[in-house]
Amino acid sequence: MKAEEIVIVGASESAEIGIVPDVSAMGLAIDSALRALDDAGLTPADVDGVAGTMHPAELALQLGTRPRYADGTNVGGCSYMLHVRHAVAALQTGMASVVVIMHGESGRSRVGVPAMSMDMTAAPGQFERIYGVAGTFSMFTLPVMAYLTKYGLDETALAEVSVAQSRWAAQHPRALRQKVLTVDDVLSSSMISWPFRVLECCPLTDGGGALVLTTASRAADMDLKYKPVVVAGTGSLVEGAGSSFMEDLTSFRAFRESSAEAFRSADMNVNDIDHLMVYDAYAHLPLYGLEDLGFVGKGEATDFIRSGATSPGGSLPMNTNGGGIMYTHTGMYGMFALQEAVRQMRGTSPAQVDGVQTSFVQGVGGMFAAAGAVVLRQP
Amino acid sequence: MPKCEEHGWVFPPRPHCPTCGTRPLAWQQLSGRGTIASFIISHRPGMGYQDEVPYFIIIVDTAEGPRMVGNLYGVPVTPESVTIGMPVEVFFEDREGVNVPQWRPLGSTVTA
Repeated sequence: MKAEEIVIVGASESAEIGIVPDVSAMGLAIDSALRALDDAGLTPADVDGVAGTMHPAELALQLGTRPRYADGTNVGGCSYMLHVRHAVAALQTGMASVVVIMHGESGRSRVGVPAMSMDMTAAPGQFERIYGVAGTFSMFTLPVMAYLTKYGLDETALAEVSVAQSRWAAQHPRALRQKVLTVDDVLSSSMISWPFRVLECCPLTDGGGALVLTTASRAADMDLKYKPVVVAGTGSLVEGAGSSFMEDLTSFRAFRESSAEAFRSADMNVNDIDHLMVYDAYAHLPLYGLEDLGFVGKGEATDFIRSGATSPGGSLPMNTNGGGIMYTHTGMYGMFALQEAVRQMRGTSPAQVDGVQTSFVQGVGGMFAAAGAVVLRQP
Repeated sequence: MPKCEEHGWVFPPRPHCPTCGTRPLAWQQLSGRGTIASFIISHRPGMGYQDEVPYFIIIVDTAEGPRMVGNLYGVPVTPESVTIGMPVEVFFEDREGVNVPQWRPLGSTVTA
């Protein structure tokens, strides 16, 4: 028996994103959830499944539901791709009928969250972070010189990523960084962790987002503001604890395997994809992503981006909200990549691409620790 | 470093072999040599490194295979000082009472 189609019937970010000093992390999540439910004419009473990286019981209490299904999977910023994947299975097997996936993070203002701390007890703490790792910018970035050297590339490879994405961000009024950049602009911005400049690193922001998923048959009875978006396929892989533990420093196995599974389950390949989101906490991730997902050959991503292929008007529009680097990055950015993909499918993105029939969303979790992929298509 | 007789070195160290589950594992000594697999130059100080910016954080492919993170000493802190594949050797540095493996160019005698 063919499993029932699962659709996204609600999707919204919080009213404000960026710098939001007067709303807690939980407040951002719940605001997003209520807005997403409103897309489908639903209320918290209709929800019997919750998911998020915050404690599911707390999310359920704050939203106002006693869910049959709860998913607290936390493998970093791609957790929301895994929540989608798990929700599809839960909805298809009747464990839930309406699942809300929530994200809220006060990454910048730190409202309603404990002080930031680094875990020094786990393997990355003992064997990576003790060497003066001040943040993700000096560890997530660490494999990049192996990559650039292998393919004879230089620092401009990273700058090209930010340049291309700035062209999309300029069209998004909610993007934190909206200026169209040149390679010189990027290379002359302040050095964070050589070869990474500040304009090649995500900012830290506040924000929330939520998705509402249900079955296609249930959606048919709902009063929807937007046509539903079909979850065509998903994939995930947990690779390991940190960037130095990668099997290969120049290619991310979890990107390769999660994307392959997502393509397989969607019965699609790269030629079927109209729009792409690749989680970019740092500028090297779209390079790895384009290659590991199979859109270009090994070492070819920089030339592809430099050619304008991923920019407005190009053959493969990528990170059309400006990406985590330009748009917003609360800490776990994956929800915002999904939100932009849904907007493109609905035709409501401020940087709308014409005729998007399919979108591929690739997330990364931790520092090259996990990955999750979601393929969306029109009904 | 722990080593499984059948499946080789285990890093990060675990009390069992992640391939076959054998435990306990005997610890054996490595040659202390390796090559630089990747690096960044940190311009923002991490915990305990307030007075050291900028400094190298490197990944070393040890001669025996396992990959380790460390700092590189004994060369000017510029991108030009380092090439991928550059040979390095280990020394041990006392950092706040913890003896941590660190790296210097092969043949150098610096001790941080």
